Amino acid sequence: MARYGMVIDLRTCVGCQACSAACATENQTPYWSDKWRTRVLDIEKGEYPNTGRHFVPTICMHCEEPACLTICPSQATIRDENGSILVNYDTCLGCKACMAACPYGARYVYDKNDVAKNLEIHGELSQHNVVHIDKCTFCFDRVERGLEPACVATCPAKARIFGDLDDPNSEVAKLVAAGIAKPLRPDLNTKPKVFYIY
Amino acid sequence: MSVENTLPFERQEAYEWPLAVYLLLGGIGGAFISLSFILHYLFSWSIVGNYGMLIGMGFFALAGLTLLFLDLERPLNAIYSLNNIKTSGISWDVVLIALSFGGALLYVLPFYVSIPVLESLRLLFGGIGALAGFLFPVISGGLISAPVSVPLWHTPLLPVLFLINSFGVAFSAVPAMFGPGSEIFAFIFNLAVFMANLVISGGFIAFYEHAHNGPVEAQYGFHEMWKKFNFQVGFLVVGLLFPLILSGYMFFTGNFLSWGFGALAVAQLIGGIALRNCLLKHGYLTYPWPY
Repeated sequence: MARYGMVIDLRTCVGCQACSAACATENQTPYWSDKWRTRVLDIEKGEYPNTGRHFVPTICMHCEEPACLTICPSQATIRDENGSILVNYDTCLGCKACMAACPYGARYVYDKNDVAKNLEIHGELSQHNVVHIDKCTFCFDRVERGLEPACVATCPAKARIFGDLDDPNSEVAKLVAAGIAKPLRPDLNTKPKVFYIY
Repeated sequence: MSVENTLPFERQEAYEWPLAVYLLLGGIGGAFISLSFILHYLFSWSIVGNYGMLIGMGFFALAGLTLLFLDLERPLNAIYSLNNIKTSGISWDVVLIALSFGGALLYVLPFYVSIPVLESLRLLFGGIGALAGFLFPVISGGLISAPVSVPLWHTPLLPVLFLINSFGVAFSAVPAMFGPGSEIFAFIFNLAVFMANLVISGGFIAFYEHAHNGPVEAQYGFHEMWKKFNFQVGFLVVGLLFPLILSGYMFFTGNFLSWGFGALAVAQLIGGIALRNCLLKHGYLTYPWPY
């Protein structure tokens, strides 16, 4: 089985938010409530005239030692065979323990207003018909069909690279092995599988 | 890493006052059941053994059965909360509430109906209820302090503070509701409250050290909390200093005021909810990017 991971290159991200839009369209996330599986933070640093603008795309890190997995009382948070962290909507209580435990702020509540709005927009084809805690899935359904996650496929600057961390020939494995791409906050010992180049 | 070198702090949105109320009521319920069992079993104080248990069950019913379920997005799925007893604090909370509530119920029933089997196993049921009631504030404090994601919470001091505060309320409320029983009991109850507040003071100083000298996220959250009226007056003045002074006065003068235990119970109740609410509200996630 693969061990999927992602590298995000902050040097090339232009903050166009195409990834957020693609993700929202693909996964029916509640953009109307400003809740996103992937967000691009727009940060201005410094004081005039020496200011800089930085774009930082964020996403679920699909950690190897995820705090959200162990803390979930109903085992609704699961790890699939490819190492991606998923949520079983049917057994999720919405207790928010995983939200509090995630150091990366990657989860949000798909609440009853969001479900109603989503059903109104997508009808019977809606992916979200019960209240649950929602997060990035690495677009596992697309990946199963041999496609890249929506955010990767749509990025015009090729700032996102997706692949198998266990395949030494994949670009993500090479970037991580070379130390060019680094995880966020390794001190938290959650072993994220999303890495950044900066 | 300094505040200037990190991205803006991101508020954790999961836990605030509903959970604080749930933790407080559950903790007091557990403390009532534990204390009532001990007073009845060791000192044959049957009125406390009966009504004290019922009051504890009432707190648990309000906290566990009502607030906990109302706070869930999908209450009917609560049965699934027992799926991860191995690692989840919430699963253990649900088990402890059930054990403590059930144990207390079976302990109280023989006061009202004669069931020989229950009477012969009363000590066992009461012991289970009392032990689970004692453990509830410990485990629920552990639940909050376990995740590394919120450095302000990530300290073993929280279970201690929650446990001592819960028992402090019970030690004041029992004599306030049922009368101290005797001079020596009044002395013991008052001593327990005084000691509890001394331990909370020490625990709070240790917590201050943890937050003040710890990770920048904990410092930031603590400083925000420190500035709030709710914390300064609710916890520090009403919940800590007032009980310490009043119980200290009664302890050193031997003058057990008729209104003293009631005032102590109310003050510690206010302090308990202020402490839990402030802690939950000012636990911050920081976005983890050392840019």
